[in-house]
Amino acid sequence: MINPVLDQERVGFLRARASTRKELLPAWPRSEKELRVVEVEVDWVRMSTLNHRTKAEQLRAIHEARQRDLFTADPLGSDAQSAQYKILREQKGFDDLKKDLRERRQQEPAVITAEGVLINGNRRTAALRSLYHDDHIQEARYVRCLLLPEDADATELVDLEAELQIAKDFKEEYSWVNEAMLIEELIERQGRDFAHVARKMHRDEKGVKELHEKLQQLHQLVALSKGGKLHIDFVLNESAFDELAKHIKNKSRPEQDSVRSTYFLGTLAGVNYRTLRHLRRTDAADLVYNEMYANKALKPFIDTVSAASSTVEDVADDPLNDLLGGSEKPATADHSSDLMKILGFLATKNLGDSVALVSGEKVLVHDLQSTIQAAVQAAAVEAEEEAKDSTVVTAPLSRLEEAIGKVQRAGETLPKARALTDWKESDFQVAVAKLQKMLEKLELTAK
Amino acid sequence: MIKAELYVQSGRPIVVVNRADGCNPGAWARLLEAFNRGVVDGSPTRADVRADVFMAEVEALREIRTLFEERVEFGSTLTVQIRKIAADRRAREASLIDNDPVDVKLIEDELNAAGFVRKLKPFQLQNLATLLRLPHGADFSVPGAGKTTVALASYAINRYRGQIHRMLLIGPIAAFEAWKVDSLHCFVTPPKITVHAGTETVIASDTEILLTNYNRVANDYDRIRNYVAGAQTMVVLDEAHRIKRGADGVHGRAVLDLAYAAHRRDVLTGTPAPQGAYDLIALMRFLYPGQDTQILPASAYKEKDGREAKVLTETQQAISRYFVRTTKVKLALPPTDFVVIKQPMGPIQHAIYEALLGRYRGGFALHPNNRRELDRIGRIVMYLLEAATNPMLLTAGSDAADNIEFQHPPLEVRGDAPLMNLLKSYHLHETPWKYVKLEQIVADAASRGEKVLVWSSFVRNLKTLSRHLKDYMPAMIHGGVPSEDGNGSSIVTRESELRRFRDKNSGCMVLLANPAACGEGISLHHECHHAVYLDRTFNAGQFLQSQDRIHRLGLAQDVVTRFTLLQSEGSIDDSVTMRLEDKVRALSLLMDDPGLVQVSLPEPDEGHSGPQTFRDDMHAVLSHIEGASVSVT
Repeated sequence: MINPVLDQERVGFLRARASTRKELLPAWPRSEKELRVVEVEVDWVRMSTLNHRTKAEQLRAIHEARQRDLFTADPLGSDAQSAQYKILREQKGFDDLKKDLRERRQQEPAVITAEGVLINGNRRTAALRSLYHDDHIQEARYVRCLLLPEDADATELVDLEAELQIAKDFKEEYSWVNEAMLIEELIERQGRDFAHVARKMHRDEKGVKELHEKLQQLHQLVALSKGGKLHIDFVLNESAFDELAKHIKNKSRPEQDSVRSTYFLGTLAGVNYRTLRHLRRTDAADLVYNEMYANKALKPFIDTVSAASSTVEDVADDPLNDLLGGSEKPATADHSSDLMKILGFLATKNLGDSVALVSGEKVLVHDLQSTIQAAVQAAAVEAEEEAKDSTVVTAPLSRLEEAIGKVQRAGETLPKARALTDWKESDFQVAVAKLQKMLEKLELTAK
Repeated sequence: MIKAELYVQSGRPIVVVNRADGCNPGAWARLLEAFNRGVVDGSPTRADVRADVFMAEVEALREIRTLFEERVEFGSTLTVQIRKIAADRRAREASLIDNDPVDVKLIEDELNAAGFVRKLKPFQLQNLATLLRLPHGADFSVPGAGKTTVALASYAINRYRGQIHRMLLIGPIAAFEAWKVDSLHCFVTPPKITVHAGTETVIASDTEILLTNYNRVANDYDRIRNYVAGAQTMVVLDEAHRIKRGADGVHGRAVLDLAYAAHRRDVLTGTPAPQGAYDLIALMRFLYPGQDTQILPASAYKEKDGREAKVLTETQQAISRYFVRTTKVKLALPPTDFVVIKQPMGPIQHAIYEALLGRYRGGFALHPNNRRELDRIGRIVMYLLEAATNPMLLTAGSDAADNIEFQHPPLEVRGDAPLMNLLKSYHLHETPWKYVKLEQIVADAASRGEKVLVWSSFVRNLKTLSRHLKDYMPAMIHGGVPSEDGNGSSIVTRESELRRFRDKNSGCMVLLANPAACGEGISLHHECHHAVYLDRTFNAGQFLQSQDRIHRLGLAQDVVTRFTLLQSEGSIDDSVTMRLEDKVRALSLLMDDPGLVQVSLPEPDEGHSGPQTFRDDMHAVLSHIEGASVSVT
């Protein structure tokens, strides 16, 4: 039967070209796992634009080309294909891959659909193409592929990618953002069944959930920046999103809002996640806001932002307002929403832009950002000091209690240990003497 | 654009949330984050969310409007539901500012017209008036104050006003009898009652009151929901503290889902928050779905702070207008008399106890937080409680009839020769002092013709005691004794044991019971005025409820109800005492019922040695294990 969705010309070409030889593809979800081998020209095969390994990079290409359907309007057309080829060429390790292919040739076959779209082997094919055209290596003209059946559907293809993704060497090619996006798509396709996806990815459910939760935070920050920032800009900020998502889970809404806005603004301004850690508290947004507002350089900027921000119009007779009482207003009394406004304002600007303040002055976004960074850091230091102060009172006692327990245990296990031939009484005596000395010293300082 | 609509899927309410093309991805991510724990199915553009979670997190929808400027649209069914809850909110808020005095006479007249014949006591009428003013009511009166009668009166008036057509009562099986008997006595024409025994029960279409329990609602949810949704139904939860685990527990979830179909909701319990303010969340979610965060202060949502004075005061102020409570003081119950008998353990028992402590000492982190560690501490508590009462229980493990929370394996003694020897010689040379004391108390009482109620949390204790006290023909009620209700052809049932205990001429002078099985819904105040606690646990709800079996309305003024607490000196019994006091004080603050402390706890100087407070039970246990060692030096 003819699959009307497929490009029949390409399908026919591959059908005629495929050899009768078959090779095993264990990751293919169907029981018939042996697929026909076909050798095709590197220029003829199409790169997959659905590949999750390049998702974040694609979002950037879309943004730069100002064309939302760059990869979806005609995925096999020349615009999409050359954009994808460019992405693959620019990825880290591309030159190493070329070198490896030049020396050892293609080891594993790539995997293509019945239309000749690569499901696996995109980077290798791009490397071969580059070897053939740029370095004039004749052997790189063809790529060896396994041919998927004509009736393979989209879910099977995502499943196959997930299955291949679990192989370690393959996994290393994924940034956390791209891996999370693959997981997100699987989850959406699998009726949001995390356990199912986790089994498929050979990962534990908790890990899959956490990755998904981090990504939801990143989506929000990117959306708030209204195109000013992209997913790929935060590839190096995994820890910040990780700690944010973990912390705000099951917290009260005010705390969630406060910590989230602080992390978003802090991450945007380039504050390290280790510093942000101290701001995982309900009053984080207040601390940061007050620190910023107390700063002479930032105060006029904050005033400018609040003057510029639009207020959402109240919806007349709105069921939500009816249910929750009151009207459209920031749900919390603290400064979370102010931080979000500052974030929204700042994220849409380039570092080189300058902002006209209500006072008439002009400041460079770059300068604003570093001042904000310093303010967030100062707030974090203050929070850290405060936390230290509260544990400082109990620390010596709790340490001692721990030690008492351990000494007690040592005494209880002593008779048994002494009975063994390996026992060294002298070592034991040395340790006891050391402990006694420490106790004497402690007593002296106590007085 | 985000669209949401309410559907019923296999009986359960589900909100389907859709994102249209071009929807802000940040807004969608924010919603997924908020609804995460309730998402049951979905696709790239759709998330199916459990209605209770949707309502609990509905504020996120308003947030995405302000933050992401995304539009939100509700389908017609969901709009109706939201408007209904909004009307609820307005009614709730209106009731708060309504300070007009109630003409109780008018209510009495209305009761008459509604065919309600039982004469209500003044405080009951006052409670009824307050409850009628609220769209949904909470009656936190102490047992014996007539919560059942007041709830039936509220039903009668609401039915008479045409607002309600029928009722669903969810409560423990032990309480069914009271509902049946009271309905019979309260109405000129008794309502048709059906007891729902499970999926097999035929629910007659003209049923006016359907009685079921928490388990059965979860197991036969669809039919129960159809009953509630089929006509304007008042859903009443008796001993409502059972849903305190909320959506995390199977029972809680089924009941919370049912809330949306109910026309009026009422909760009844004398111990609404046995562990602190946090317990109130599930009750408020049932009464006012989607509004709990508007009612309770944010501090109530931190479980570990649930008994901090500030949280208690804040929560008390927040909820004070939403419930009625008739206190024991208001009921003018005759006084209670607490006797704390504290004795050292016998020498061998003491040695066994010390050996146990030694085994666990130093083996814990200061703040254990992983599940395995906590489970281990739970087991150790069982062993310590057993050792403080009767060390022979240690090697037996739990009884099959024990409450699920009490299930634990026998103590591992292999390889611990000293402990094994101690246990052996204990068997030969000592009898637990608590047993000896108890026998004395029972013998004394029997000689005066008085009956004694004995509480222990361990079924093996009850069984051993029934042999020990066989001269007094003890009756026994625990999880392994079946109820007559519906199933089973057993000769010995809870009801037959109760009859035997209540019968003046049966010769049965003792009832041995555990609070888990016998703590609720039974009154014994006509037959017995003395309860002895062989052991107690950290469960304050059960402790209070168990007292109420013999200390309740209907007692003659000259009767003194006695509670004797047997406590082994220097044992975990001390920690339990401190923790129970802490919890009872918290509840009395929440309920603004200072008298509770007075009637339910021993005088301070009889209880424990010092006012020590711990953040939680686990800390008290660890401190006992570690602290005991320090005091030796």
